[in-house]
Amino acid sequence: MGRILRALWAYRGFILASVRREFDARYKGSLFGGLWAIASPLSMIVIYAVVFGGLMRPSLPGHDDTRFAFGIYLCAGIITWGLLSETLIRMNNVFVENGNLIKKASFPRVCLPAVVVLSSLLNFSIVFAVYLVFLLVIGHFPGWSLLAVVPLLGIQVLFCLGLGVVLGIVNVFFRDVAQFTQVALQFWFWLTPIVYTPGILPAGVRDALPFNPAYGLIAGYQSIFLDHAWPDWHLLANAMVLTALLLVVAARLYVRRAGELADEL
Amino acid sequence: MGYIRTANLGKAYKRYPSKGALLLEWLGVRAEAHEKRWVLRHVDFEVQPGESVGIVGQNGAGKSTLLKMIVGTTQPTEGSVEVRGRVAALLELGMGFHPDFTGRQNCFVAGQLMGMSAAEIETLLPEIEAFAGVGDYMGQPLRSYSSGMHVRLAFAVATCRRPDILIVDEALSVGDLLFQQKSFQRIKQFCQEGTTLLFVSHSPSTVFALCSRAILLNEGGLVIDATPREVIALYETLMLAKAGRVPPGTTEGRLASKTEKLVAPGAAANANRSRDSEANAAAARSQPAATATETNADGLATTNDHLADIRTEAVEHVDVGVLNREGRATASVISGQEITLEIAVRFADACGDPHVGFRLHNRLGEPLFATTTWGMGRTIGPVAANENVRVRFTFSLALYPGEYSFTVGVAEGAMTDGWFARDLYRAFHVRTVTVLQDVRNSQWVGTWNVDPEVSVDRAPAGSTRVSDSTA
Repeated sequence: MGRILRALWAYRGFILASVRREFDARYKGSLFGGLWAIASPLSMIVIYAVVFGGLMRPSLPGHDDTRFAFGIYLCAGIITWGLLSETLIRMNNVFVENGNLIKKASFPRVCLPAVVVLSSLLNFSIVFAVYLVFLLVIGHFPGWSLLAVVPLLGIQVLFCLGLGVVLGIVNVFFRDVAQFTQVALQFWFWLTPIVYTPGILPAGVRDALPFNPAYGLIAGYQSIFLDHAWPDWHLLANAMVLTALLLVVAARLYVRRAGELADEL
Repeated sequence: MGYIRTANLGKAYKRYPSKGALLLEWLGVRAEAHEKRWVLRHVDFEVQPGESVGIVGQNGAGKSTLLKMIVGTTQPTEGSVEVRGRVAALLELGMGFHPDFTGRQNCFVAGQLMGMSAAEIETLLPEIEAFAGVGDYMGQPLRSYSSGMHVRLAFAVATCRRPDILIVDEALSVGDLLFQQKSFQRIKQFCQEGTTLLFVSHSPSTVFALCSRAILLNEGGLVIDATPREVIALYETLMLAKAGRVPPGTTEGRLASKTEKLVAPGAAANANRSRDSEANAAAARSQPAATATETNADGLATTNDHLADIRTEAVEHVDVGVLNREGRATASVISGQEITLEIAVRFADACGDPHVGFRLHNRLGEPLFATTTWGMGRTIGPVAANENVRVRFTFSLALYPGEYSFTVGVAEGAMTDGWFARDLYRAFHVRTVTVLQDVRNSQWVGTWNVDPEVSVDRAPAGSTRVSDSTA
């Protein structure tokens, strides 16, 4: 474990530069460059605000007076879910896509997942910033409870890192994993209260929600941004235990299989 | 600083009958569901700081796998590699390059992939720019580069600071002729400054020029670790045998005892090796006088020279003599003087179209000249069993003073390209001759004396022409 962290530190320059280059590469050759990074989340938020705030007006229990309540709720879930799914999908292919580099150059392989996590976080932070501006504009800025986003994101990122490294390594040997992840993420999305509230679920399903590690996280974001309240930390216990477990499994799998990656790619 | 040691190093790729078998093994249902395919096994060698070692061998001999394990991109299956010092590998040029970024940005990518800091690359950048010689293209995206510029930049970055160990996989043949020389010079300079070089090549001349030692790999095993002269000779014979140009059974015995290490169990590898060298020594002692090599003053010719020799039953006996003008055997000759290389062959079997040839080597073992009776437009004609044939080549050795050696051979069935259908006999470095300086002659340096005639014309001051004859 210490060796992995030391390797990451030694190659921090490479990792940070790779994140930067990946971002630059995305908008290279376009006229407006980084502006496009803002255009997509902005349009998403505006559409949700217009559709659910002006046209459809679905009601959220206890928030009948809040304008755009459903839009705020939906975006809080969708934006953070976006980070989770982007990280996991990219982690699946992180070793496969960099196969040539792994086979030809000698560097700590663990840099690659680190680049994915950081660059997903960078993309997220842009979307998130747009969302915060939107909240400011409609006068629903969360205040101090916003600080709770930091530990929530921390747990989420570590969870994705652990699960992602496991999936990424296994995917090198069994390419089915990436396909499976795509399918599983669809079900997972709809099994997590993001576009609906937990209240509409039948009692049996609702009782099973705490076993969904994403539930505690997403519910936490939703309560921060809609209710301006601190997250329910009890809901996060499962996610935290699972994260710790995944990190240990990931580290062990990495130590055991990192050397074999080059042979299998 | 640059030290490499491998101990019983081996690499096997796992081969699974199906993905299901891999899954069963992962789940622990079956312990060993795979079949191991060894590509390299029982490799033991050591490289001391500052040494330059060439690795030769056919395609698929395991050269690249060996380098990859030393660099660390692939893990050994058994045994270990110890590497001390900073390694730079020219296995593949331009790793990490992105076509949309400028040359300068890509220097940072590649440098950081090598573990350098941005500040370090910044300070080395002017030097990289100068060496790559791509001019103002440094600020242009890489996709606008020609392929030559691309590799030049990649080479410049990869070698921007002197490593303790430089590992080169035939990357020298990049760019145009000028750049090839430049990159060759840079590698040579690194070696002079103390870099340890490990170098894979198919080109004997590069091995002779760069390496003080060489290793021959064959079918995944280390066959010989010796001077380039011994190794290249053995490599050559091995290639002849593979091409079927040597009758079966002539060299296999000697080579097999070296190469069978691949199938020998790991523990026995070292025992095998020592037995090998005893066998070699014994073989050397039992060689007839004509084929035993004379060890010269600096010990360049060793008992390993005979390893590459070719013997068949068709040729019973070959006597080689270096004779001076008086017809007496000699071991030295004054530069420019005439000598005769006499090759007396006794054929055991009848032979339709035999030819006799020789090759002249410098002290490193690099071939300088070679010809055959066929090459000289002579035919020996069919010979009967037990017939003796004596061939004499007379020439003047206008060479730079030093040690030279002769390899002689007998072959059968000339083909139009100067090759022969079968090699019947070959003795590497069978005679050594020392070329002495001709004190009465002109002073010169180089390989051979072209013996120029010189004339000097002087024109009177004020004249525009040097000589009327140029008009």
